Amino acid sequence: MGDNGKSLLQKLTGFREFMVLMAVIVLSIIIYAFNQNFLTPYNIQVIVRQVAIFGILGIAETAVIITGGIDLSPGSMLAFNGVMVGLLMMWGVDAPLAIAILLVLCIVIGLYHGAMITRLGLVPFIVTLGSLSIFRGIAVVSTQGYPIRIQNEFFLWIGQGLVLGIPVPLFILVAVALTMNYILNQTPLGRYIYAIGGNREAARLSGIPVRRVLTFVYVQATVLFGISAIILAARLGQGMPGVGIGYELNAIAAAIIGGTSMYGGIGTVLGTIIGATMMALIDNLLVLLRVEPWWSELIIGIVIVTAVTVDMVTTRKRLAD
Amino acid sequence: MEHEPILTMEKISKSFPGVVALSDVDFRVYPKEIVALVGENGAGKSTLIKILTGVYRKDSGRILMYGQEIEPRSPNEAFALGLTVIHQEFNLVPQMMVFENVFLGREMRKAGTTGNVFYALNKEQMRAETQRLLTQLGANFGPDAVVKDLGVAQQQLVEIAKALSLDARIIVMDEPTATLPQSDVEALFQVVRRLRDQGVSVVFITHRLEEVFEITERIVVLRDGKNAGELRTSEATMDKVIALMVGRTLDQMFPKQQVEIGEVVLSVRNLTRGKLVRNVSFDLRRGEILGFAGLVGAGRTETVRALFGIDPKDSGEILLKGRPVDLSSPRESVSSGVGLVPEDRKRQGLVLGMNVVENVSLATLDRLTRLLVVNSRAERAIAERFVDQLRIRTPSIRQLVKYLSGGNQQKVVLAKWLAVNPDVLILDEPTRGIDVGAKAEIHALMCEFAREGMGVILISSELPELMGMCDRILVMSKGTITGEFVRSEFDQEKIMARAVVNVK
Repeated sequence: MGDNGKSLLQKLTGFREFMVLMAVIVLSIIIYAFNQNFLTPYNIQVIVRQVAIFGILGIAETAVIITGGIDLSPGSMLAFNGVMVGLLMMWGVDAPLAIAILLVLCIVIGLYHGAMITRLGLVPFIVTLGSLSIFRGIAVVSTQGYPIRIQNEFFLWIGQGLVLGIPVPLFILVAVALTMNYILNQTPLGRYIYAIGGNREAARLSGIPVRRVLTFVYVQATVLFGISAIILAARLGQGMPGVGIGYELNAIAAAIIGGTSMYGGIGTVLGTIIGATMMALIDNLLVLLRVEPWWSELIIGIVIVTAVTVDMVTTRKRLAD
Repeated sequence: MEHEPILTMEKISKSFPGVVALSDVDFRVYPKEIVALVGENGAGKSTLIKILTGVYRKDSGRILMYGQEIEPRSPNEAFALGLTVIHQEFNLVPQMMVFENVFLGREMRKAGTTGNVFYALNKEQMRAETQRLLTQLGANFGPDAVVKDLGVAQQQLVEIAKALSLDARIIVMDEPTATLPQSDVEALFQVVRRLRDQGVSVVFITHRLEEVFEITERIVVLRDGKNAGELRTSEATMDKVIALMVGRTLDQMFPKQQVEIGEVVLSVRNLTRGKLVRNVSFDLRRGEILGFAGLVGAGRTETVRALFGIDPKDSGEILLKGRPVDLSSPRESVSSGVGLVPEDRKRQGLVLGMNVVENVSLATLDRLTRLLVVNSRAERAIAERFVDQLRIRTPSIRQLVKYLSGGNQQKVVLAKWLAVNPDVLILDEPTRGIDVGAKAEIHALMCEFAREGMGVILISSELPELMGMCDRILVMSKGTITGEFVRSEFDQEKIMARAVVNVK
């Protein structure tokens, strides 16, 4: 980004994140205009919890999409992980230990994805599509379709608790965001992730351990899905085999709206969070306007296409010089 | 050539953000001529041609064809006007057959069928016509060959056949011989001459000045986006042309110096992989520049790819500094002190979406890292040092490498491997498609590396380059080493003879 003599405003509008942030602010103003309840503490908390879940899922997808891959399992993992942790606690395992075991389980599943993709050479789309079915299936089978009640106070606090008036999930989101942002921007691992997405062959020929990096990317994805599942289960007070249907699309949409490119090599944590916020806001808008829930899918779809089109058009204009 | 020009480009100017690519450039093409367009990388040749063929829009100036002003706004409009370009990077669909590619977008229809898109394909006629063109070009494959199975040189012939079938008035060839083996170059020249005799003019863009003297009648030189001169080939000399291109005289093309050659740093024994690498064995010493000569397809690139761990070896032993090593992946090779500058810098050497700093540090990030954090200051310092040392022309080290010219991109790749500071550096066609000035700089750098004690392996299809730079040359043919020459024995014919030994 050399010095082209652009004004500050021109430089800012070139940043994808800035544009989406502006859209979010404008949207917020519109929602407030429709319904004052938008800014009540209760409503804001609802939005924040929503953003936390979609944000963490989106951040997980961001790293995966940057490498040129995709993970279609978040929705099912929400169900599977929620059920698993619920079962563990039902069998008497203490909450912290149950969480630890669950995260280890996520690591193993991530390693499985990584191995299928890097050793067997299977396409990420197919591998994670398989997981989408397999893990929801396991969740349903192991509960016979019934939700599992969670009564552990510590666990419930994770999803429902407040610290200084701020929902706990927000702290978790910030921690995850800072960590992933740090990894992507400051560490060689992050550089390798972008390089593999930009040109996998050149990365490999430069001595980058492509297999190891890709495996890491899928492991971090499933671990983050696990964290998100814990937050969701804690909020609901139940491990439900039916949650999260379609959430993989929301996760990917958050990343894409936030500027992550499907072609690989481009994407940021900040952008994804803003993208997740936009999606949570739209959801909230529909609720406040008392629109029937079945409209949300349609509207989210339109938003995604619009956002990507606007991005493509403005990018093409910038590059067409 | 006293006729009126078919094509006149007058006072053409074009700028991109931060760069003036062309400034008041004139370019004419006369009927029935073969004219060369030469210049260093970044001189503006590609930009001029892209304006002519509708890829870019000019900022100012006029283009006239047969006296009429034209404004080609897309490649298709250019084709319709009789202007075709054969690029260095091919526009072929790898999964399709040759005849399908040749007629892509202009598929012949069966007699009696109608419709614009939904008509029956006349495959027999397309095949026959394609075969005719392929025979004319001396191709060793047929119209049914699948493009992705063809070698680079063969794919280029498909591109040429495609252009020929478009019935162009002017064909621009951009570095057409860069990947052609010598025998095909001759055939290409014959075709070009025949085209000229049939009334088609050819614009020849090349860095191989010997070819300019062999086939062209007029030479147009560009430098830094402006006209630098125009000569009749018959009145020109190599030095005059280089002087116009570079703006100064070049002392030596191949600055080979005497370097003390030390102990053996790399030993390869019985390296085998498939049919193209068969029991290859050789030694490399410190300070030595070892050349690999051979035809396209002889197995040189395949040998170094197996050596470096890109492709798995079937068998063989490698010793580095006397100790056996298992170079089973590029990562292992890099950490063992071996570097490879690959053949295709865009596809294998650079991440085009990243900037100079990021590309230079790509192989050495682990060395620049403390406690999981990349030391960006050190990274930038290294990049700046190399930009300086290698004379990489870039507005800033944060410039994305996709905006650099070919020669400068190659220098970035070199910088990446220099940062590794390897004991052994393998260079696969390092100066292909690079202008004279940058080429000489890269040659000088190679001598530097040798002087600092590196063992250097050089693969090149240009025999003069090998003979000028190397201490020893190994010749490969069909996967085996068929000859070895020390510097005092270098002889062009003898080396070529060894290169065709296994070829019928």
